[in-house]
Amino acid sequence: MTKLKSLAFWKKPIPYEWRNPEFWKDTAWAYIYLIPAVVILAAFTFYPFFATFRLSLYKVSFTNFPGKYIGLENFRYIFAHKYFWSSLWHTVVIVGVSVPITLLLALMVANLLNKSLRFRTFARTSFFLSYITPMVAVIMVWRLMYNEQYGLINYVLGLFNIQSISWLNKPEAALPAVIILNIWRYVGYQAIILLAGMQGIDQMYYEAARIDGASGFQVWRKITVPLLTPQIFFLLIISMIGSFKVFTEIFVLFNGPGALKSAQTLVYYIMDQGFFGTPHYGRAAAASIILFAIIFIVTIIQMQVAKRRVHYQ
Amino acid sequence: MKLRSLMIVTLLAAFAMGFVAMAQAPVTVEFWHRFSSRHETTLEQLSVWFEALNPDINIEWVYQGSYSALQQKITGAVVAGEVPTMTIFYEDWIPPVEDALLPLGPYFTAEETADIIPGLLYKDMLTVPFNKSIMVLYYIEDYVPVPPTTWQEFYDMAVANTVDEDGDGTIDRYGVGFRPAANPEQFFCLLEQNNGSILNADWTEVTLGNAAGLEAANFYASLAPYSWITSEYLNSNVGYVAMAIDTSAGYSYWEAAAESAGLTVKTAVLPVGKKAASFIQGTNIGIFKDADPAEIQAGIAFLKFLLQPEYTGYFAAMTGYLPVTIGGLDSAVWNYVLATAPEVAASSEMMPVGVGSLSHPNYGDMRAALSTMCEEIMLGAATVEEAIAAAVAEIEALLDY
Repeated sequence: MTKLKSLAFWKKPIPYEWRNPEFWKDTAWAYIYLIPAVVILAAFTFYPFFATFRLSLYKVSFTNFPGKYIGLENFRYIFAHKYFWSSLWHTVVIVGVSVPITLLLALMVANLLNKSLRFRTFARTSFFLSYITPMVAVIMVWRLMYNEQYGLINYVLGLFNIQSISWLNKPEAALPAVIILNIWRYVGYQAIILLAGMQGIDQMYYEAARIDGASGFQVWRKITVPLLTPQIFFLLIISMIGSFKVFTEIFVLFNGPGALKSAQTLVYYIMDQGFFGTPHYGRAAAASIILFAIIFIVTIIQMQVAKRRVHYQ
Repeated sequence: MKLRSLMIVTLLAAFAMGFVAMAQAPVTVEFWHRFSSRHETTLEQLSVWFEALNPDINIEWVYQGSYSALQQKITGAVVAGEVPTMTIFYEDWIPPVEDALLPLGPYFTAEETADIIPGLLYKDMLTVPFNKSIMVLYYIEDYVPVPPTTWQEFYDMAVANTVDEDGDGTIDRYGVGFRPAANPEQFFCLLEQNNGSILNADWTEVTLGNAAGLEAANFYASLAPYSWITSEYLNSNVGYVAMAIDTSAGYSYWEAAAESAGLTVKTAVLPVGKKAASFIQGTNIGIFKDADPAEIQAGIAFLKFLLQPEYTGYFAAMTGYLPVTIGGLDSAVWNYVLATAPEVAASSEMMPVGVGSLSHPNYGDMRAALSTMCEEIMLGAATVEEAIAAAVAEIEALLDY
């Protein structure tokens, strides 16, 4: 209740400095400089955000916008729609598999890049290239690599006498194809973030550990990883939010949602409802709100966990 | 006094000249499209000829980007009330905005309407056909010297051309290629050829699951073991399939891919089931009823111009699409094309027996249900009866609108 009371800003006295004209002389220009950004954010972020809530309650009509008010009917439709649940499951699989694997690999890569290797700069640049290369170009190349007849991946599998996999045309191979692509794309970026964190750790901790006779693994586990928790936590949040919003990889890789919708994620489901086939903007808006709620709840949980587990120097 | 009078007379003369200039200014028809480079040049030539015949009308072509960008801009324009005079539409874009379109039937004579290929007439003539292509049979002549003409021949050739050339247990070439999710229209051709349909004439009943529909679906399923089932474009792997049902608009891509593979690709009319039929795709032109009345009249005049035999023939000749009128198929320019480019003969021959997509408001969702049905059948995820039953149930829920 105390926290809620503190939100009642209209009951608070006007801050003393606001009554001072000198305060406004100093800060007025700051607010004026902020106006263009606020206007753009209001028009293209805040307004669409709140308009989505409104649209989700309508059967949207373009010729009689916004259309017919139907209350929660769009939400009822979505929760009863089998493709919503399959899309949600596919999204959970992508998040649950790609996020921890990417982070683990990134930790290992960062650890390697932190050592005094020859061509270290070249190695760091190479790992980061996967992230800075335009997404669509990357996915087009991976489409060729995944080609069943001529793809590089099946060629390498063939060298080990493993049968070719129809990555792009078989339902069971669709999610693994997306996950592998996702991991490859973001390992470099996360490794660079973790590398920066590693290089910010005070060397005195390592020296003290060496004096105490700690092994390399103990140093890594007891010093490096705990002191990297701010970066790890940041990457967990960013990568989880990003993985929940996977769409472009699927759309370009499969030219659709994958065989039998085997790679259809929540964002693809939203696009399908709103823009592919008969447009149902109200349902797309409702699905967007559900996705927002899921990401919001997951982020809140992560923040609560972080309070106990993240160590700041 | 004299100076003041002179100033008043000069001002009045200037206003009068302005009014006269405005009265004589041509009516500008704003036409939204998505054709770029070569196709846009063809459009501009058509408007030059039209404007020469109609000096008081100016056609302003406005390129709107890709098809999806154009669709979004049409949606935004309708919602905002800032519509152009006319634009192109895919047929499944029309239902959400049909209340904004002008029914064109009253502006066309019976003869003009009868000249439009019957399968292309849209409900209430809300739109008229513009750039159209039709499904044809592509075949690699190196593997299929003579194209099939019946379903039985099609099936036999598919079986004969599904081969494991090096005996390693992996099929090296399939007889046919299908894209069930992306292109259910391949199945629609078979359905139409078997006298089947998705809905009955007044859209009150789903007829997909009747005897004709089941028979077409069973034939479709029988080709699965001899088919490359994919989401990729079938010409992306020329030589991997011996035959394919694909759009005539893709001929240049097929030709280029075959040439690079050292193969020869040709087109033929689709194998005939109980009757000859094919599926026509492409866009229509619609006029917005909220446009300026003078612009609407000018737009209608331009529409009729585009549908004249020589001009629909010219547009088709220059773009690789097909004439949309019976007169256009018989025009001198199209006959010249047929004489010099034999690859269009098959598509031209089938246009009179082509059908377009349903103009049902929920056709987009129906098509999605049918795509899933086609995938389930071809990937063996369900039996034909199960897949059809699921599609019928889903489409029945979409009959109301």
